[in-house]
Amino acid sequence: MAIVELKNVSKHFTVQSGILRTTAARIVAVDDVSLRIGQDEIVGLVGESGGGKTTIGKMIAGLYSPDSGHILIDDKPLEQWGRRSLAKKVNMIFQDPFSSLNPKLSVGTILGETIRMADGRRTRQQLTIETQKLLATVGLSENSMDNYPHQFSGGQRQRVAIARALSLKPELIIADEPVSSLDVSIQSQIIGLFLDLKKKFRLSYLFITHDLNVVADLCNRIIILEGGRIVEQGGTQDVLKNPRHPYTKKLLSALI
Amino acid sequence: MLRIYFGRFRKNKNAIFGLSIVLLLLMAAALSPLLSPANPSEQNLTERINGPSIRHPLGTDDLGRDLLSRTIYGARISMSVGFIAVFLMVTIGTTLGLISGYSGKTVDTIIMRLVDIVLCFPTFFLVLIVIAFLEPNIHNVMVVIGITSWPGLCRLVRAEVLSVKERTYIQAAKVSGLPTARILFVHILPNVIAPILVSATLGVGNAILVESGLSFLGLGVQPPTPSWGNILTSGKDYIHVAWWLSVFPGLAIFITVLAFNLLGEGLRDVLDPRM
Repeated sequence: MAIVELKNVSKHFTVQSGILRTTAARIVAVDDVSLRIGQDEIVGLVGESGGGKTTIGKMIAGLYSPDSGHILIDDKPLEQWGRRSLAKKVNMIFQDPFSSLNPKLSVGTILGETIRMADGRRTRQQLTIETQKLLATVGLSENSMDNYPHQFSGGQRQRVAIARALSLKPELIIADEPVSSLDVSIQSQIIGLFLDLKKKFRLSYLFITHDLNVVADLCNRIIILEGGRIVEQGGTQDVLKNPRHPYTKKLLSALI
Repeated sequence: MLRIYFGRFRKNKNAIFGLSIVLLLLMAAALSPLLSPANPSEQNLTERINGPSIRHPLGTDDLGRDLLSRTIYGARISMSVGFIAVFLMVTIGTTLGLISGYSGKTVDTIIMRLVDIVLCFPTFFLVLIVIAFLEPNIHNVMVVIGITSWPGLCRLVRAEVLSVKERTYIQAAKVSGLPTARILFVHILPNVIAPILVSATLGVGNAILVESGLSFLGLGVQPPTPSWGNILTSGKDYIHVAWWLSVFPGLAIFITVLAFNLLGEGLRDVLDPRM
């Protein structure tokens, strides 16, 4: 069974200008996209910036609603999922770890609130223990609970963001360029963490990236997106070894 | 963060001056029975309209009451009106501003039009109308000042929320399924607290000024309770023979409003050096 299924999903944005709010431009972000993500799968969504990758991720996470087409989560339309129940099914990690953590809240608060959301009330002590356990899972020190986001490095912040996504025990994590703002040495550590967590919690990932290097190491399947349309998809090795579409070839040549 | 703000605050002489006066006034209000040399409503008809002397440092009024004691007791009224009215203003303005900015669309339009309606009347005029229909007493004055002064703050908060709600951490909170109330008050509010704090401080000065004006017109705090506004009223009939009756309560209002404005502007410089 597919966790997520998109059927002919399209989304456009309008740019308004002037006092009368006339439509100055209509930008098609996602154009007739159909895809499915199954249990235990890592799907890479690849394309250049402005290609509609993030829009697809945000639509699955419920931040945007599609203009046309359907999104099914566990065979149930997305609109029928409440925000809270959806969060326990699908969560998202954002590109920039510097802006995805609230600067005014401590790490303990950030993680504590989602842990409590995931399954109900508990004593303060239990909450502390669970938060510390979660921090250990993503490779952070237990003492970092009382620290604020600005006291961490980029890689550490991304670990906090991963911990937040994990705290809700989702089945699918949408990772929107989770390593592209990190140093190369840190990148491989975080990718290693993603793989460890997948084994541990039987997670699926939708990995959004422009970097085919990342995809090659990580994904079972990749989807190539150009101008909001899917131009090619298939098993990672197939696509990387025998690219059929010119755009995929272009992306691959850029690698070398 | 707090240490940086505190360091900047200490270097701001105006803010420190404002804060010291505000603290002195708060002390005067809290300890007025101890600080005032006489009972503020005790009449002494043999000592009517005496100028400042050692026995009565600020003189006496037309009923022979000690003006210093009345001015000190007046601080109680001014401080309580100022703080309670501002508490109301901040509660209403912040809540509506948060809701308006965050929800957008129809709710936003309704709240903003309401703000426009309240803003098109001069505040004092609006207060005057409402008080004219109600019984003029201190409680009504506080409430009326509070519920007529929120629109400015509401707009300010809304504008801040509009920028904060687009940040990634708010999207992350939404994706994590947090309830809207929690996103508003735990995630957004701490990020818009600086302008609220500044505007609240300036608001105290403004509320005190409005209260004095109302009391001066006889629509605020009623005699014999001493308020700077109604001391001024009783002084105006004797202004040619007893300058102290008008000058000292006027000076008290002036210094208080100045102190709150200096403190508010100091806070603004400290919290947001861009402005």
